[in-house]
This record gives sequence, C-alpha cells and structure tokens, in this order.
Amino acid sequence: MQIRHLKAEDFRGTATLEWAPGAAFCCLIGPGDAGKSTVLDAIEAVLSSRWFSFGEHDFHRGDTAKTIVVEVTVGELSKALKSDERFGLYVRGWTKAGVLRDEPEDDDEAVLTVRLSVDATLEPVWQVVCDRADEPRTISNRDRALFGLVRLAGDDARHLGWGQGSVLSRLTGDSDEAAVRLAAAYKAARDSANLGEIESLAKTAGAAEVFAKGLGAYVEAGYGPGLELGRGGLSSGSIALHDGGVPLRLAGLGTRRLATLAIQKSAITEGAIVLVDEIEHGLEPHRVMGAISQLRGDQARAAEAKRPIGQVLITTHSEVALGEAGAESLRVCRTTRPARVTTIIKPGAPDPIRALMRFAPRALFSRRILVSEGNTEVGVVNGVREFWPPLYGGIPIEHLGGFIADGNGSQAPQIALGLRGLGYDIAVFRDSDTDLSAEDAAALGAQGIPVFEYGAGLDVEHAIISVASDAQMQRLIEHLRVERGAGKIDDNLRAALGMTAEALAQQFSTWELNSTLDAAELRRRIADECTSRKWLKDQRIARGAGPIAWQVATESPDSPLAQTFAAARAWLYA
Amino acid sequence: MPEAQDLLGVERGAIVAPAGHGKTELIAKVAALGKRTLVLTHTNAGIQAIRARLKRMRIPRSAVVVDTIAGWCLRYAHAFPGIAQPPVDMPVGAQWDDVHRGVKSALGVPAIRRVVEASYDRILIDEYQDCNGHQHELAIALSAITPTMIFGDPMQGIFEFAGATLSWEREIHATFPLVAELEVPYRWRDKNPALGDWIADARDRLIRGDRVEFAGGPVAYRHADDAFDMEALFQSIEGKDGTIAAIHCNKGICYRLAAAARGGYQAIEEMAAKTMTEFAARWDASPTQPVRRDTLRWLFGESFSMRKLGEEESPSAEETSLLEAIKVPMATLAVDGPRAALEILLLTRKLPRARLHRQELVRDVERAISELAAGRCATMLEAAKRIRDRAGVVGRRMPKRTVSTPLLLKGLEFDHVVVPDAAHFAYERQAQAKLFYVAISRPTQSLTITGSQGYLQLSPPAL
Repeated sequence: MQIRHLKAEDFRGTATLEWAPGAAFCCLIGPGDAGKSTVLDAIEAVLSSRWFSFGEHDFHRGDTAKTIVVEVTVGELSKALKSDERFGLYVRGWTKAGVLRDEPEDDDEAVLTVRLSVDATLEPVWQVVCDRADEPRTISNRDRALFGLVRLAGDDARHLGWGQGSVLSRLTGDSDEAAVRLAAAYKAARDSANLGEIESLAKTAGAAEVFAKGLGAYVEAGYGPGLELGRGGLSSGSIALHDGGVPLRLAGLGTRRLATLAIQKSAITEGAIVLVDEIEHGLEPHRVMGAISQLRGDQARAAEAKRPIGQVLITTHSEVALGEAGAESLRVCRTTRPARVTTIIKPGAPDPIRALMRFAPRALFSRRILVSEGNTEVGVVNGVREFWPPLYGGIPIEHLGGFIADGNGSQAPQIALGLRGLGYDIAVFRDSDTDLSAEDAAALGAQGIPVFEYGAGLDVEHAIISVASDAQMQRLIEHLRVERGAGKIDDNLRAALGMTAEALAQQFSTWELNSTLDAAELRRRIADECTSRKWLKDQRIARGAGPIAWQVATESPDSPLAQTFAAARAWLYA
Repeated sequence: MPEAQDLLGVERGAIVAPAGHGKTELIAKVAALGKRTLVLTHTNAGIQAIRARLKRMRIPRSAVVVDTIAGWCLRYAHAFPGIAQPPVDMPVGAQWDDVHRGVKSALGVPAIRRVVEASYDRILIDEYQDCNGHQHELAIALSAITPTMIFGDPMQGIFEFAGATLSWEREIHATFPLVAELEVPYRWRDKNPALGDWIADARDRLIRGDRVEFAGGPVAYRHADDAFDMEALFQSIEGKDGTIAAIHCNKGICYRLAAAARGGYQAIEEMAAKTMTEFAARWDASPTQPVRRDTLRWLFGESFSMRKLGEEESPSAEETSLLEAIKVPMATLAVDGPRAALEILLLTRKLPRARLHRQELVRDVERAISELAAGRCATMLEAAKRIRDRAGVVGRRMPKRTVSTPLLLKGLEFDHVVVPDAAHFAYERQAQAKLFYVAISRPTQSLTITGSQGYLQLSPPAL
C-alpha cells in the first residue's frame, strides 16, 4: 500500500493540508511546529485499525464547530481491498500525472479514498468514499487493518509483549488458534515459568529477534518469552519479550524502538505503510543510517521480487538521516501563520539540493537561510554573528531559525533558488569579485531573494583589509601565521611586498616605513595575496578572522564591509 | 462426470450438460475449490437452485458469489457509471443490452479489471444456452481476466425468441472449447432409470429431427383430443405423491387450464409480474370508486373461477351474506381504497363457489395493497414493483401442482409431469424441439403425455 494523496481540514494544528507524497520513501523535514507530526497523525488517524477517541484538542483551534475531515487516498492496493466484496466497487483512478479521478479510466491506478470525519459529537466516522456512490461505505477497524499501517511514534512497549491484540500474539499463530494457544501458554506459564519451553512462544521470540536485528537493534543474549508479573497478576500482558532474561522494555531506547518497529512491520505481509517519528530518536548516527538503509533495502528487494513495495514516511531532525535518505526523498513541511495552511514541498530540481545536503545539510532544518558563497564568507559571517546577540536582547539568530549556509561558490544562486522553491526565506551573501550573471540576478530578483555584497569588485579579504586599522592588520596577520604557518605567510608576503624578513617581523604599523609601497598599495597586495593563496578559504580559519572583521566593521561603520554585514544582520533578525 | 479438481487448470472451457446430468453439482464442486468463485446464471430461480446446492454441500457462503448476469452487471455498471453508462432507472428490454455492453467497456479499463481479478479466482457461467450475443461478449471479456468456464445445454436453449441464438460450434466453442459432455443421468438413477434413458434417447432423436414415440416405454401416453381433457390431467396424478407440473407452451392456455382445473393446478406468475403490474396501472389510473371496483373485478376474472350454478340451484346463504358484506368496503373504495380492497379480497376468497387458481398473483397483489395501505409506497405501481423485486430476491415457493410453460418451469424438477396435447409443440414458431425437450426432462419419476397421436416429430433444433 502507498499513500497517493492526503487531505486534511481543521485537524489539530493545521487548518488545511494537502499532500501527494509521490514516492515510496519520504523524509519529512521542517522547522519545529511545521506540522510534520500532524501529517503522520492524520494518516494514522485515518488508516490505523485502532479506535481513536477524539477530544476538543484534536480540532483546529479547539473549535468543534468545524468538522475534522481527513481523507487519505491509497494506491498499490492489496487484493483483499480491491475485491468487490470489500471496496472494489469504490476504487478511484490515480492518473499517471498524479491526479485523482473519481472513476478510473485509461491506465489509472486503482486507488481507494478513506475519509475520517469527526463533528461536534466527537464521534469518529471512517468511510470509504467516491463521488459516484450514493452513500459512502463505512469501513470497520478490521478492514482498516488491511491498509497495513505501522506507526512508530514515541516509545511504545505495548508491542514487546504478548498482550491482547499485540503483534506478537498475531505472529504466534493464525487468529483462531492464537487465543487457544495463548490460553494454553498462560496455563503452562502458571504451571512452570519456563516459558522458553513453549515452542510457539519461543519460535515467535526467535523470529522477532531476527526482525529486530535486521533493523539494527542490539541483541545481547537472544530473545525469548519471559514472565513479567505486574499488577493484576497473570494476564495476557504478563508474557513479554526478554533478552537474556532481561525484559526488552528495559533495553536502550533505540533498540527498543527498532525492535518495536521491526516486530510491527513483520506482521504485515504485503507492503506496509510505515510511519516513523524522528527516526534518529535514541540511536547513534551509524544506527540511524543502518535502520534507514534497511528500510530502503526492504523496499528495493520487494520491488525486485515484484512484491508490493509499501511506503515509508519518516520525520527527522537529523542531517545523518537526511543524508542517508537522499535528496529525492526530501519533503519540506511548513505551516503558515496565522492561516495555518500546511504545505509539503518536494525539491523541484534535486541537484542544488544535493549540493546543499553535501555542504550544509543542517540548513534544511532552519527557517531562514543566508546562503553564503563559499567557505570564507560562511566562516567570516559565522564568526561575526557571535557579536550580534547583545544587540538583540541576547538572542542568537539560531533561536529565530536563522542559519548561515555554504553555497559552494558559484552554485550559490542555484542553491538559493532551490531552497526558495522549498519555501525557505533566503538571502545570498557574496563577494563582488565576480559579477552575478544577469540570468542569476534576474532569477534571484524574481524570487525576491536579497543579495548582500560589498560592491566595487570587493571580496571579503579586500573589504576587510582595505579599511582595517594597523592594529587590526597586525591581528589578522598573526592569525594567519598561527593558522597557516609563519614561514609560509612571511615567505609569500616577502615576495609580494618586496620586504625583508626582518622588516616583516616588525609590527604592521612599521611596514609602510620599510616598504617602497604606499599604504593603500601595501594593503591591496596583502589582500591579493590573501585571496590568491586562499588563506581564508577555510571555514574554521575564516571564522577565526570573524572577530577581527567585526572590529573592523564596528570602527568603520560607513565601509562596504560594515554596511554589508549590517544588511545581512538586519535580514537575519527581521 | 469430470472431477472438479481436473477442471481447475482450465482457463477457458465449456461443459455441456443435458438436463439432470449433475451440472449444478459439478458447478458447486468446482466453485468450492476456489477462495472466492463467481457463479453467474440468468434467473433468480437459477441463483436459488445453486445456493441451495451449495448449502446442502456445506460450502461456506463467503466462498461463492452467485448472481444473475444482469444483476452482476448492474452492480458493476452503477459502480462505474462513467464508462458503463447505465440507464438511470431499472433497465427494461433492450436497455439490458446497453448494460451488458457498458460493463464490457468498463472491463477494458485496467483498474476495473484489477478489481475483478482481485475479487474472484474463477468465474462459472451457468445456463449458457440462454446467453445472447452481448452476454457472450461480456463472458469473453471476463475470461480474459479470470479463468472462466461455461456450463449449459444447447438443447435447452429455448430463448431464441429473446435473442439467445448463439451457435455453440461456431461462436461459443471458439472462446470456450468443449471440455466435457456430462453423460450420467443422475436425476433418474435412483427413481426411474428407464425414464432417464428414454429422455436421453428422445434428446438424440429431437436433435436429429427424428420421430419420438410415446408408447411402449416408461412414458404414460393417454389419448386426448385437446389440452382441456381434464381426465388426462387428473387421472395421471391420481394417488401420486410429490410435486406435479402440467406443461404447455401457451401461457393463456395455462391460465385457462388452471381455471378449468378449479384450483387443482395453480398457475404461476412470470418474474415480470405482468398481471400484477397491469392491476397496479389500472388502480392508479383514477382514484374513483368505479375504476377501482372494475379493477378488482378484472383481477377476480384473471385469478378466480366461479362454478356455475346448477339449474334450480340458488346461491347459498353463506354466499349471499358474503356478497352483502362485500358491499360495505366496496362503497369506501374511493376514500379508503387500499384497506377496502384488502377487505374485499379477503371476503372474496371465502366465496364458496369461487376457486383461486392464481394464488401467487392474488397474494402478491394483496401484499402490494398492504404496502400502499401502510403508506410505504405512494402508488400501487411502486408497491407492485417493490413486491416483484422482493419476490425476485426471496424466491417463490412452488405450489404442489403447477401448470405453466417450459419457459417458467425451465431448470426446475418435479416428481411427475403431464404434457397435455403434445402436438402443440409443432406449432411453436421457434425452438419447438428444445421446448419439448425441456418439458419432458422436468420429471424425476413419471411422465404423462396426452395427445391425439402416439408420437411427435419436430423440426431439428438450431444448435
């Protein structure tokens, strides 16, 4: 099963939401409160076989007068769903172009639309709908289970035991036998707590272990059934998975989550729809990568074997997860204020986004991105930004969702446009040593993307050095000597300035006296050298120069450097 | 009989099954082997016959869907109206062809094919001889989606007048090659094997256009000059237990026979319930007392026969008082129509000289009037339609003694059958040999044929 389309109205934090995922694997990102979890909640509320009880808080702005309506259109339908004894006569068409048609035509894929509506009575109604049927058809919990939905939200230990309705009890045997077998198991459990000898339980535990390991859960001594007598004495929930005698619910958060997900997923034979909130929760980066690659691998293997692929929708705040998921799966979620319209956007052209994911994946988790041309700009601006909070009541730009991203040199305009397309607030920060192409300038202008540059052909090195005081120059040269090696810096400067080693060893303020060059030329040549030798083309080194740049700008508020910094700052704090 | 198991590999095929040769049994067995099998037939009676067999064989209801071709198509046509374009109201006449054509077009849409594919692992179509060209086209389209087998008997194809004129050799077997012809006459094996053999032999003769002899075999032949020889009708059934049918091709003669038999035989109504519909139309025509009175009188004429008073005989006291009593509701027909009509019918049934020979008709009319009386319907026509549709779903109970046509009795079996005035089959314009075969293959125990001569020769059938 794969979700083709989702539509929600007045559900929790969103007034309206519409989304066509368009892929078997989607990785939802967006700043906090962008509506990512609401998207997964909406899907779960419609397709899960669980009964949901709704309260005022589920209504948009708590207003029960506005009926909650969530519709999910599902494709890659299983045979059971398509059968005319169930919902076959309610199928609709999903066109190759990704448009929903009430009655299928041509090569349309057969899809079903399930609608959940909750009105002021708080009584949820689940129906399969199509416009051509006089009456929508109510869909039972049992039939909703056919959509094979699995949700891994927080930390749910329910699936790690053989409790009533649990996945493990389902895996233990076909539904008719399960109850009998479980009853026998409890009896046996009472007789002797040696549950490992009950073959059906041990086998299921063994299978659960394989599933869990497959997703990267750590297994210590091997899974087995164990007795956990809690309140209420012996009940169906008393038998739980143990790992080497320790209840699995006491394992690490990550392992527990992975085991839960694996066990749930394994119970669905045909193309499960898997929803995972913050996949990185409780996992080390390599295990995040392992879990994602396993989920994708399952899909690839299913596709290879021509089995239903299913769908995985995850949310994440982790650049590791995002990197592993890949640019094609990226979806950016955002909810406007105050209208609270939720949009989910797919990158139009993945190339600039790929570049961005390589150079500044973290930017994607922010709201407002200053795309800076290269390492020097990123470093210097990042260094400078540390001096801004005092001007704004102690608030760093990050608290406002701001981020300074590496635009990878000449790719900056394309990256900026790509991000704008995803709905981010974007500005470009760049050198003026090369002119922006007319095309790029026009495209940026058309998207309302401000471009901050020093003007007059200045790059950042020249912009700083041309107005720096002698003391500031001295600090800068010291910084470069420390970072790049004094010998290298001095050798290069000696050749460029025609000065002796002894003269260079003096304070910068004496250099002019010991040189044939005038002050301006001297600085120009140092800046030239700095640029051509790429001394600052390293984010860390450039960032180290940030405090100097800040001081220079502060002392020359009319300089292009100060003006440009001020403009960028104003934009980031806007 | 071929083993059901052996038929599972058949993607497309035909089983030819003469009457009483275990066709329904085989269909049920094949159907039981699938997870979900679709069995299509033509009539609600056919549905009931198959369902009854499935039930007897303890095959779970969920494993087999039984429907009429028309009913199934209507469901799909309304589910996909854009392409199937079904008529808004219940189709009538040639509109059914549109329904079949429409569903065939719908089956051209891949998504809809996937639905059929997901719904059934095998399709079995019964009584294939009753299919017309549009239904055949539909069956071909279905067989391209799901393995499809057809079952039928060319010799029972008596709907030629309605367009069921497919050639088995040229048209049907071109898509559904003959897989087997059933050879064991199960229907008579325990009760009257000789009769089974005689019917099989008669079938061969009818196919060739040869003469069929009545005398000297298991058939009871009685000389009679016309169909209304009541002696033949009644003598042949004297002392016999079980169900009895008299079969004549002419519906009018059947009603007259029923009337002449004074309720000894009951006429049954066709599914279309023409007479009830006409009653309803007359009733709705005008809410005035005279129209309604005449409508009831007309119904009385259609369904009751009054024994004539003998000479010197005068109406009994009971009759006189009943007739007096009837006058009361008769007067209120205009104001309290339905209730009055019900009262009148109730009293009429009690009239000592009146005999009801169309019980089914009168009972259905009473039900329709009750619907109207209870305010569940606005018009009598609507009520009649509702009762008719309900009968279609619920099915009818056959009277113990029936007089009707081969068309209505087709597919049913009776313990004893009388065919009055056998020669009349030769005057049928179409399918005379097939009609005769259908008539003589209904009985399981005894067959009585009356007529002016001891043999019958009919034009060879178009197969």
